[in-house]
Amino acid sequence: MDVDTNRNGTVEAVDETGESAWSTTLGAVMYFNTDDDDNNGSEDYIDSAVNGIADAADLARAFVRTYPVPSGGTVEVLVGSAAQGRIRIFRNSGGAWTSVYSTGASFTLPASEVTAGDVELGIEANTRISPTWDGYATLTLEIRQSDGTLEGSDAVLLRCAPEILATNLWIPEQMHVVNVGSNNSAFRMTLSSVCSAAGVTYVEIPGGSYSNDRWVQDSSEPGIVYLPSTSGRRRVDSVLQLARWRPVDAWCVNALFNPDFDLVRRFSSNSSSMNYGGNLEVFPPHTAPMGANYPWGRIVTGGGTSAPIGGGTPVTRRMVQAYRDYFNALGIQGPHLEVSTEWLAVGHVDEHTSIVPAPANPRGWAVLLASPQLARDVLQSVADAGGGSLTVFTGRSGWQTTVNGILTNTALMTYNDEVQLRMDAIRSYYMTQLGLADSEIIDLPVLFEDAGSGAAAYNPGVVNMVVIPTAGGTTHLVVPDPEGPDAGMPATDAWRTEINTRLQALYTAASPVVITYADVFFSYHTLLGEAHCGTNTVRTPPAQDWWDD
Amino acid sequence: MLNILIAALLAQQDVDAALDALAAVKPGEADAYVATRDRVLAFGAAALKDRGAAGRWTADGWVRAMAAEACRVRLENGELARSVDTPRGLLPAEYAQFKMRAPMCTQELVRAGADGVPLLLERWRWTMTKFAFSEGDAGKREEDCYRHAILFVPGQIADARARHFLSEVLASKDREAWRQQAAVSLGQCGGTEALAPLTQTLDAAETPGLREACARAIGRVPEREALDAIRSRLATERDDLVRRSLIHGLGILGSSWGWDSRKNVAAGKADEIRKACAEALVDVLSRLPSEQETIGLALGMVAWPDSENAVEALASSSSADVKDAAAKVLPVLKRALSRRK
Repeated sequence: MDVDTNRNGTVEAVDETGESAWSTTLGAVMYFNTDDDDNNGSEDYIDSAVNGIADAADLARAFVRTYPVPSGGTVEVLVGSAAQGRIRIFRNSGGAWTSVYSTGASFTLPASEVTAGDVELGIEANTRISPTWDGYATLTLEIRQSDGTLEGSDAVLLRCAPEILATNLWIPEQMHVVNVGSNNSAFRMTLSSVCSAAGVTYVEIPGGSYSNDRWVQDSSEPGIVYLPSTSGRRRVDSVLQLARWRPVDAWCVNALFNPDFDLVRRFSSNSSSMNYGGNLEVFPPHTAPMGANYPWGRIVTGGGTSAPIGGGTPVTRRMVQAYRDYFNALGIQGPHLEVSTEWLAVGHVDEHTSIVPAPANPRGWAVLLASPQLARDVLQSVADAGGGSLTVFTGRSGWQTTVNGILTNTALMTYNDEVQLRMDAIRSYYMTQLGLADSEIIDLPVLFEDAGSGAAAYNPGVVNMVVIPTAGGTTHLVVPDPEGPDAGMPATDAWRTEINTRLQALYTAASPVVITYADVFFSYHTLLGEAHCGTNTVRTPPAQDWWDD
Repeated sequence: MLNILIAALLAQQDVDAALDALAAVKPGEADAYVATRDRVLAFGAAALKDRGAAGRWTADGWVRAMAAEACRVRLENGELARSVDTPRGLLPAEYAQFKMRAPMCTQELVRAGADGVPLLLERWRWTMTKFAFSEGDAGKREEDCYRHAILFVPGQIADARARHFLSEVLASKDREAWRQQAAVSLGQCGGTEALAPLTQTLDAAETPGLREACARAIGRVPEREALDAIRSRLATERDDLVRRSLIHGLGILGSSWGWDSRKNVAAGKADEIRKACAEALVDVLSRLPSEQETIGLALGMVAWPDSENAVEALASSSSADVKDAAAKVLPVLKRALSRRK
């Protein structure tokens, strides 16, 4: 029995070598067949049929080689206990595929056919990787004589390709945003313009089809699956639906799920905001201080246990266990990190952290961190220069205030003093876990306020930006307009000025940054989200074989 | 001329009588309140201005003053009154668009400012049943959100007029969550007057949750007496959560950002209290090293320069627990101090 052990897309004699083990150099790969090649709206693994040529191409091949089975003898393929019921196996008979295995410990093949020639099998996973199945399947061929005596056996091992989630360093191909009408038209116009400049396909999701649920970032997390093929690695796009249970969650099913576009449907009934996509990010590839290597990066979710800002009974809020377990079980971008977000009203990582390309840094990327200290320092500088009466959030009815109005708001300032201590702890956590230097974590000005049920960004949360690197080396950043005081001569937004200075220092003349500020004030910010929350992005993965890592 | 004066005098008596009647409406009697309020509104804003002035919000007179002020705001700022009466964040069609699909109105009500406070207190006392909450659990969540915000707002904007209202809620048999929020807001807006109800409740309440809220509320009172109240109780408090909140309260009381924000307070007072908070925290660290996490946070907030040396000294302590705790607190404190520089 042979499988594509050397991962070149074909099953050959040479594949006999190392077929029963799995390493970075040898071991066959199979696919969780959760795309929709026949466009019937259902994942291909669900039915017991092979739905056309494209679906057949999704099956990992195994060949039971011609063998003179003794008269009255049997040919049986045993499925390793871990994979039983989690894979499906088809047999190719003259181009027609029929299911020969879906449950149980084994299946048999007609002895006459094995005697007559090679028998071609096609294997798919029909269950996602999980804590109860690591994605490995051992198949053991046993040929027995008529009296049951073992004539010979051969074992092969396959591993299910893991879903790999995108990082902000991957180059965007498509940018999706929900059109909710005039309320977010300014944001859409800005985003569309930046996408055009960056060569990214800009796609508007009709809000009317999704009850104007604009939080598309929260609905799902795009990624990819890489499979071996005769022409090198084969990319299948993938999207992980999150346990949110709100209207726009269906967007990934309706718009992305397609031939060669996987859908991993949500698998928890829990609908806590901690499960949303804004609470799921991926740090780019790195080697951690203790030496662990993360060539595909490392997933980070938000959560933890702590007292609310201002004190009180400690609360525990985390992404639901099923998803955290899933990320760990995938084994490619984990074990995941968990950073403190439980004190935030929404509770998302992207409220205080973002990752951007940083070509001026040796590492090539940097972490952006919300900083009340910086926001306050900038305002204090403005006030010290006589600008205390300058307006902040100018013209925003009901929200406009002044520099002094903020700096003399004792409840707000005391609250932010404590938030900054939390941010200090998060900075230390990143330094310890990721091995980042202090200089690789860039503060950006964000004040927080008590939203009653936790902290929320007081000014538009500039960290919550849309990151668009391009193949040409330019990085476009769509940053929520912080709407700070216009200070200095000529008058410019003091918060923006600080942001520009800090971000531009991360880039070079050859790999520059283009910063575009977007109006998110009433379209996202006052609804407790920002720019990143309102977008979702399909990105190009690096040209890199995960099985080598 | 005499006729005009007599008419004005009679009108004043009528206003006062109408306001007396309005203030006398029993809590929760929304229809009676609204009917009586219509009579008061007919007198016009000018007649109400002084009657709702901050100085009239006394222990005996605050209900009447609050009603007068609520009427005045209704007459002078109808748009604000409508927004406070019907916060957008309580409307299902609005909050369905929020990032979390749940009612939320604290931010918009905080931004309504001081003029919104009498309207909110009026809502709490008399007219909550007039609000068109949704049916079932959704309606309960909306009302809970509204009630929480009403208690929350006066503290956020430090509106001392609400201190008697908050004291009343704190002393009531109302839901504990409301009493807890009332305690915190009272600490934020009540000044030294808040200390008596807070310390009495802290010392006498039977539920740890309420005691905990009072413990953390005391730290919101920016006075030396608050520091004394915390220190004296820290030495004897047996409940872990309450003790932790007292420690946390020292951080809030000594918060460097908090004192920076009080532009009208003499620097000497700020330094005196911050220094004392820092010393109290270092002392607690030496006695209760297991509380190092909360102590570290509080010391970071106070960011008093001398505390670095004091904690460094503890890091050489002969007690392994104290030594370990001090070592964990030091980087937190150092970072906070370096930021302050």
